[in-house]
This record gives sequence, structure tokens and C-alpha cells, in this order.
Amino acid sequence: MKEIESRHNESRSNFANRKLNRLSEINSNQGIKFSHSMAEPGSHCPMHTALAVTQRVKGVSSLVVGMPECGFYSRYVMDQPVGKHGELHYVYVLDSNEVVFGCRDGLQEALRIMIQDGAEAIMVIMTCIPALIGEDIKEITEEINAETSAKAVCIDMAHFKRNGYESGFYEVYQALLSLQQNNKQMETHQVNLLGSLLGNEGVRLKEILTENGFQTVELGGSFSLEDMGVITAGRLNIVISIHMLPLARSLEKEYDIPYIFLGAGYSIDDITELYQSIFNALEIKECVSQFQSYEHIQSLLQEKAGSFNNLPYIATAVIPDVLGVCAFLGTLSMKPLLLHVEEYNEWMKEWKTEILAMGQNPYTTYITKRESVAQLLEQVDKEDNLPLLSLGSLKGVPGCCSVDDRKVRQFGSLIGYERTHQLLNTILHSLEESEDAII
Amino acid sequence: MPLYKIVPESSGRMGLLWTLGAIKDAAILEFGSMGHMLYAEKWMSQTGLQKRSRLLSTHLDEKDIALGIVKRLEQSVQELAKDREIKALFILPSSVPEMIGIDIEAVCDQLKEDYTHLPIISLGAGNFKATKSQGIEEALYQLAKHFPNKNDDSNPRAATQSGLRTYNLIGSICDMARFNSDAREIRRIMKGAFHMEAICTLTSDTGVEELKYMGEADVSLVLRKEGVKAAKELERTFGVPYYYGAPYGYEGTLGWIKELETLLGIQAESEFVQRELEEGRYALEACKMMLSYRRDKAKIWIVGNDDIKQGVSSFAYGELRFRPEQGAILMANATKVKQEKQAFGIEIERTTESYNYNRYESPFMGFRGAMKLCSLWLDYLMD
Repeated sequence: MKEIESRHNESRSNFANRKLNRLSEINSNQGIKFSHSMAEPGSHCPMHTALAVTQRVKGVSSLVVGMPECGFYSRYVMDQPVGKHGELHYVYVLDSNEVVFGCRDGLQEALRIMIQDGAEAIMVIMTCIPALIGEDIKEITEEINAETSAKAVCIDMAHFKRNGYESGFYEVYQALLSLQQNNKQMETHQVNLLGSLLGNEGVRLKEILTENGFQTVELGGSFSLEDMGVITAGRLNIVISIHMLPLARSLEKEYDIPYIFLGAGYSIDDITELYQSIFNALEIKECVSQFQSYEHIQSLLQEKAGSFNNLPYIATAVIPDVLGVCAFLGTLSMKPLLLHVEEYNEWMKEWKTEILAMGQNPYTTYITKRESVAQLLEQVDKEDNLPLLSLGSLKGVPGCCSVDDRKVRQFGSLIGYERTHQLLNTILHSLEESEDAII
Repeated sequence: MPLYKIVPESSGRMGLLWTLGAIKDAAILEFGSMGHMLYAEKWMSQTGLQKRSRLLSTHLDEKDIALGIVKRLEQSVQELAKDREIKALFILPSSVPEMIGIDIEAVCDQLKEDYTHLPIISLGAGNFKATKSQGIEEALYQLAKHFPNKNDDSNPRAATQSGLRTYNLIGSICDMARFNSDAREIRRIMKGAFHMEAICTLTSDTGVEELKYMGEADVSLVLRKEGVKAAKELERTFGVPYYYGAPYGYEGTLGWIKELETLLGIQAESEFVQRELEEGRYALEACKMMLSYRRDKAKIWIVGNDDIKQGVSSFAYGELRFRPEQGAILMANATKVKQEKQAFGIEIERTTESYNYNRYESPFMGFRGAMKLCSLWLDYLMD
């Protein structure tokens, strides 16, 4: 009994040190530890998001390669074996022999059948077990590509390589570029918008581009594989969604198309600089005062900047660029205590450096039990008598005011000044609404 | 070659989870990638069962795999053992630990010694060949093996004290379309015909507490073949006899009652049985009449597990005069029913496309099930 008790104590004492890494300790997904010992029930694997994206791309078929669980439950996403435009969505379930000896022959045969059935572009989604047995599915798809006019590409969506599901977005968008087979000559008047341009500012940006004689190609929501060919002719990629950043990098590397990551900017200066870079790259004589939200955010900061000063906060929602948000809020002297980081990628290092340079080093974790976040906060240094804000729903923490997940998603869907305005406005509203925000 | 153009077969691990996931105050922990449990939760949430097991996963990373580290599992069990609302903990096998050869059973044996107040059951049927059927059988067997009270001085259940005869209902699993309604119909018939009360319904309506009294039952009623092993275990350990068979159709239900009369040594309430038959006569006669008029449409094709296939076949092809042919009525799982748009589809097995929102849906088993089937088939015949 004493032994068990001592193990319990050891676990408690290890809790802060081991489970809650500081941001400075995070260099890869492996550094992001679970907030609690287990998840209830868990979160989606990257196969799920990979399928969700693939389903919305006209002309792309899919083949999930894995165990019965992957194959069976993935049909929650791909509920029909044949898509609206004849895409095929099949499953390859490894049998007990293939788990030991590999699935090369069977998988090649399966791809040939898909091609015979009419698939022209196939996203092969590799899950945990094929990744674990080290099957070289990339090589298998390349061999198939060499013998047919159809094209297959493999993405590694093994869940044990990360906690979250974000890589399903990143890798599918990037892999789509390899699937398209219609490279175009550069169109000097074509601008690619990687992500959906929503909100008033998004509409205005599109108008500016059109008024200046540019044709825009927008990749967001649903699109077709042909569009992936069209974007190879772009003069500039404006990256709206962080999920499209790896795609933009590939377009730069393979097609010499420069990109500007508009989604990276949260502060007025950063956003202004990004817009200016876009206008310079396209030789457009416009200025940022074109955007009404530019005035709005300026007024808000002039009047309310003090409200954010020293405000401690945590982020519980899935915010793909949470480190970018954190770096910006740091410029307003807000204090990050704990961040849920769904996935960490090497391009996020710049934000990490900025945050650390401000003298901030929040706990960084993968929250598996949001209802037990209060337990985590017991170990987080916080000043008394200050309100605590949560970006993302949070219950059970007295005096904490939270911006619910829906509102977090809302600001995340906007761009530029409007996005920042929405973010800060939402925080202010939450603070105002919380009558009992003092802890 | 294991290429599937529609939903693939479910595995032994899924059979385990779907069976145990319905138990009210238990928890199921998977030492594996957590995406599976989220989907499993979605599956269970669509069954319409409001009280069921808690589903948890440890997740694992490359380091755990490379070094065979089981600390996540140990810490999770340690935490769950503190939760007094959890009355039993099932450790679900998962594909990655199976692949790398982690001996979960050995780890669990150690954990059982540490937490003696909590039943910790490590499950088999996790290998790469195990079918859903094997998983269900294993889960039911483990329940019969580990949970019934073996002490003679245990407090008898209230129903037993009051003199009511009791039974275990084994095999109501959420992979079947009408699993809940079928179990309710069996309980209604047992009450009406034999004045008997269910101790527990494995597993769609039971908690861990009820499982303790399985050994006190007068009989175990097994609705599907996967439950036979569990029933035999109860017979071996406690001397509880069992009857395996599911009542489909009027003749099938009467035959089922007759078998129970023999086994239990009592007569069913004839008034109840006659009333049920009388109530169903209208639909049955109408169905027979329409079948004689519309021989061109008198075709049913059944795709499902052996028990429902056999039961419905005997009603449709035997008692009524349908022909086992394709092209008219299709009784199959939800996905197949949706795909075969030309056929008149009736869902008999659940898939990812199934939603059991109406817990008072009519059954397919028993007298009311026969009436429901007649009315569904008439919809097609009269169209």
C-alpha cells in the first residue's frame, strides 16, 4: 500500500514538471505533453481531417490504408463510395499477413483496381499500422504513377506521430499539388488566394485586386483539382489560411511563385506591412486606409488598450496559429499562462522566439480534459485580483471569463485588421459580460 | 485482397467495444491512438443509449512505441481507480500495442494487484484476425466469468427475494438496428407469458451491479450465437440453464415460448399469448393476402448476421410465402440499404449511417416485431 501511495505522490510531484512543459521546451510535436494522463474520449486523428479536405476537392479519390477501425469509422466522413463527380473513396484494410510481411503487392493491385474503376487522382492516406511496419507507400505510389496516366500520392497520417489533427490539413493541401498534372504558364494578372477570403475586409481586398486588373483564384472550402493546376500560373500567392502555408512554400520552391502570409499578421504594423508587400509585389497604388476595419482597430486600441494590460489568459480552444495570437497579445502586455497547442511546426519557431523575447514562457500542453483545466491552473503562477481570460470554452474555474469556441472560430475565419478587431472586441465583450471575473 | 469499396468488416476490437460500451457504470480504456475512441464515442452516441460506459484513451507516441513504455496506461489506471463512480474497468486491446507485442495482460495483472477494489479486465480478441463476432463473444464471456457473485452469503437480489423467477437476457448488442426494442419486447413477453423479470440485459440495459446477480437467474436467454459461451459459463459455474434462440414471426415466437415452457417446467399464460396472436392477426392476414395477389413482388433478400438472417428467413420464407430473391425488399445494414436505391430497404444492422434516436421504435423480434415486419412488407406490397 505504501508503495502505491508513494507512486501516487511521485505522480503528483511530477505533474507540473513533466506534463506541463514551458514553451521554451517545445521544439517539435513530441514536446507537447498531454495535460492529463488520458483523454476522454480523445480527439480526431489526422486521417479524419485529411479525408474531410479530400472530400471537398473535385476530382480527387481517396484510399485509406490501415486497420478495420480506420476503414470502418472513416466512413463517417466518406459516407459514399462514389463522390458527386465520380471520385472513388475506397478502403484498404491490412490483413494479418500484411501486418507482418507488408502490403506492397495488395496495395498496388488495389490502386490498379481504383484506376480501372475510373480514379484519375488518388490520395493514399496511410494510418498508424502501415506507418509502424515501415511500408514504403510513397514508393508504391510512384511505381503505379510510372505505369499509368493516373496519379497517386501518399500522405503519412499516423496519429502516434503527433497529438492533433492539424497535419491532415497541411499535408493534403500540399499533396494536392503533386496530384495535379496541368502546369500552366505564368499569368501576370493572376493572384492566388490560399484560403477563404471572408468578412468585409476580405471582400474589399478582392475588390482591390479586381479593380487593379487582377484575376483572383481562391482556394477555400470546395474547389477542384483543376484549380491546383491553375494556381501554378499565379504571379503571387496570398496565404490566408495557415493550413495552406506548406502548399505556398511548395509553389515557391517548384514554380517560383512568391507568397505573402497575410494570416501571419495580427498587429496593425504587421498587417500594414503585409498589405504593403502585397501591393508592392503587384504594383498596386493603394493604401491600407481602404479598409474600414483599419479605422476600427485604431480607435479600439486608442480607447481600450489599457484593458488588455497585464491581463492573464489561457487558450483552451484549437487555434492553429495560437503562438501567433500569443505573440500579438504579448505586444498588448497580456500574460499567457497556459496554451493548448494542437500541433507545432518548424515555421512556428519565429512566433515562439518573439514570445520568449518578451519574457513570456507560458505552459504549453495538449489539453485532453478541458473540464479539469482548473486542476492545471493550480500549478500556474497567477497574480491574485486579476481577471482570467480563456480563449476557448472553460467551465469550473471561478472568476474566469471565456470566449467560447464558436467565437474563436469566428475571428479565425477573418483576415487582417478585421480579424484583430474581432479578436480584441470579443475579449472585451467577454470581460464586460463576466460580472464575477476576479479571482 | 482486402480492398473495400463500401464499409469494411468491423474488427474484434470493435465487437468488444460495442458490447461493453453499453454498460452503465463501467469505463473502457484503450492504450492506443486516441482517434479510434473519438469515433467509438460517436458510434455509441448514435445508439440512443443515454447511460453507457465512459470511453477513454491514453494515446501513445513514437517514444512509447520504440521503447515499449506503458507508463501512460499505468498512470491512467491509477487515476481511474480513484474514481469511485467507475465500477469496472476494461482494458481494450489496440492495434499498435498488438503490433509491437506489448503484453497488456501482464501489465494488467500487476495493476489488478495494486487496485483490488476495482475489477480490471484485460480483454482478448485484439489480434489482427479477430472478427466482430469473436469480439462480442469474448466480451459477453468475460462478463459472465468475472462479475457474478460467487459467495453463497451474498445478498440476494430483491426480485429473487420476492419470489419472482428471473432470467438473464444475453445478446442485445448495439450492432443490430433494433437491439433496444427487441430486448424490450422479449422482456414484455417474459413478463406477460411467464411473470419473469430480467436480472440484466447484456449489454444494452445493465450496470455492473446487476451483473453480480447473473448467477441467481432461473435461466439465461441467448439471442445470438455470440452469447452461448457466456451462457455456458453461467451454467457451468452456477447451474443456470440456457436457451439459445431468437423469436421472429408468429410461429417462431410461439415455438420459442414452447421451448421455454419445457425448459422452465411451467405453462405460459395462454390468455396473454392468445391476445398477442389476436392483435397481430390483422397484419398477418393482410400480408398473406397481398402476397397471394402480388407474387411478382413477393421477394426478400436478407443480408445480416446468422441469427437475424435465420430468424427473419423462417418468418418470411416459411410462415409467409416470400421468395429469397433480390430485386424487391432488401433487409441489410444501413449503408447497403442506402446504396441499393432500387430496392425497398429495411435496416437490420447498424453502420456509421445509423441513428437510433427513437428508443421506442418497434422491434423485429416477438409478437410486436412480427406485426412490424408485416406492416413494413405490406408498405412495399401495396405500393
